[in-house]
Amino acid sequence: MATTSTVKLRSGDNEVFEVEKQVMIQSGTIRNMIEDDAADGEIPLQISSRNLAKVVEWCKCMQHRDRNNNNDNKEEEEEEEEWEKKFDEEVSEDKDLHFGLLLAANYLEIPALLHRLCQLAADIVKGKTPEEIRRTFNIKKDFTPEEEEAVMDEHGWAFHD
Amino acid sequence: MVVEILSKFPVKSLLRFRCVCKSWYELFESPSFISKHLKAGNSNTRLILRYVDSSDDPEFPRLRDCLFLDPTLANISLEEDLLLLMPIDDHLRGPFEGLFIMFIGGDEIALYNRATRDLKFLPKLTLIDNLESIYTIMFGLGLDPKCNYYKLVYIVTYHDSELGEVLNDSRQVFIYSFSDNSWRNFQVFEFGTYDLNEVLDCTYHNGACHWLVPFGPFHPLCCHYVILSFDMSDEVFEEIQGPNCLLEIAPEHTVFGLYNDSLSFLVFDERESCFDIWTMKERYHWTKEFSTTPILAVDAPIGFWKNDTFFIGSNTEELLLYDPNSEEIIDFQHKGCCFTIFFDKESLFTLKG
Repeated sequence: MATTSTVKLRSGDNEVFEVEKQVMIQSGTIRNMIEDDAADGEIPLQISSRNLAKVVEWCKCMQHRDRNNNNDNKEEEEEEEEWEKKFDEEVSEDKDLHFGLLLAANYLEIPALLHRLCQLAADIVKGKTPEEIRRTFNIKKDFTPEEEEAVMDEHGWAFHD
Repeated sequence: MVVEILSKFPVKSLLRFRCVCKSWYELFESPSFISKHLKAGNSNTRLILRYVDSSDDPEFPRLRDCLFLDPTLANISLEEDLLLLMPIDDHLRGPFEGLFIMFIGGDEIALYNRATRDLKFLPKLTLIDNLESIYTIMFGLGLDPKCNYYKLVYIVTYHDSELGEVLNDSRQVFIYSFSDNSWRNFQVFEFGTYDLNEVLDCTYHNGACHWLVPFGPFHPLCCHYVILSFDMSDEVFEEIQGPNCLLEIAPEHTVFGLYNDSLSFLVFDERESCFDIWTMKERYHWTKEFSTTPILAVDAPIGFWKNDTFFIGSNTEELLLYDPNSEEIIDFQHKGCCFTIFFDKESLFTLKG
């Protein structure tokens, strides 16, 4: 095993983040590197410093929460909930950040973060119309108008509130 | 990753997004996506409670179906009469994997998906005896993971109404396949030793349907139960022994179901007044997961729920939800008997066409 207790992560724009290993083992990718003793130097990542900072912040918060799971500190619990709420809001309002974090969570293999971000994405777009969805995801419509109408008719009720 | 996000949408949104493009339409029809979506929606799964309510009039108890609207059960006062939400309320069974089964008569069956609001009448069955001779119907519903489509297994037991005898040797087994909308006769299994005369609900897990059935000659005090399973792909029945402790326990003190995604038993230990959970993590191998601390004034296991919790019944016919982690008990304020719980999952499985 490696001797130091931290890992150094280098962002795509060359900012270095030194983080406790205990925090970063939430990432499958980093955990594998630590286990293979390949995490002693700086780990270069194709993730911008802004997004990487957010990922690290999230991992720290989750580790802190897991460690404190057993003591009933109401104040800290509320603080963590507040933090998560703020995180959700910030991500929901910033499309670039949301998308960047999705890619980062996917690359770093952090299932809990990926799950959270996917759920947020689903919550944001679930009320949209098919046309709005095509614009959001940049999808080309390949149904003819007749085909589209037939598909809509199958579950017409879903298009009304 | 788009698939990951899409699997978290409610069914109503996905039905709308079917017309976004052809590849999405095809994705939403594929059984593997439907299964993924069904699993991803676990936190939105709501509780359906079916029970006999005698609080209004003890002389005329009535069967009630309550749907609890809050999936977290934090607010249990939000409930609705499920039957008012159904297109037909004839002999309702389930839901299983998001689908309700309704018997109209006995040879006609309808399926209803509440999430997609699809209602489908299946082709009529060819029974060897008349309808009045039907004694019980046992069925299972689930995905055939090899062929990747859903199947319905349907087992009919007849009785001779004049002699009052159950005809254990003339059972009929049918298999309905959604891929070609047709029934097949299936008869390669000796049912003689199994007592399928109670109404049994199936537990679907890992490509097979499971029923807990009494085995051997009926005896009211000592009844031996085994799990009868049916592999949906290979179409073979198999008998699986439960944990040994079942031999000493009265049938009303045990329930069978899924706990943390494993086949499990919830068993009431009368001597210690506690509940034991037995699970089968490896095939044929039962281990005791844990025992609860003694709980006062309870006498019946009712069923497993989400997040490690389970339902139990008090000895004054009240329904309680027990959390073994916090040892907290929630009183559901519903009095009655014959409580059964169901998972109201949102399934994208459409019954159209």
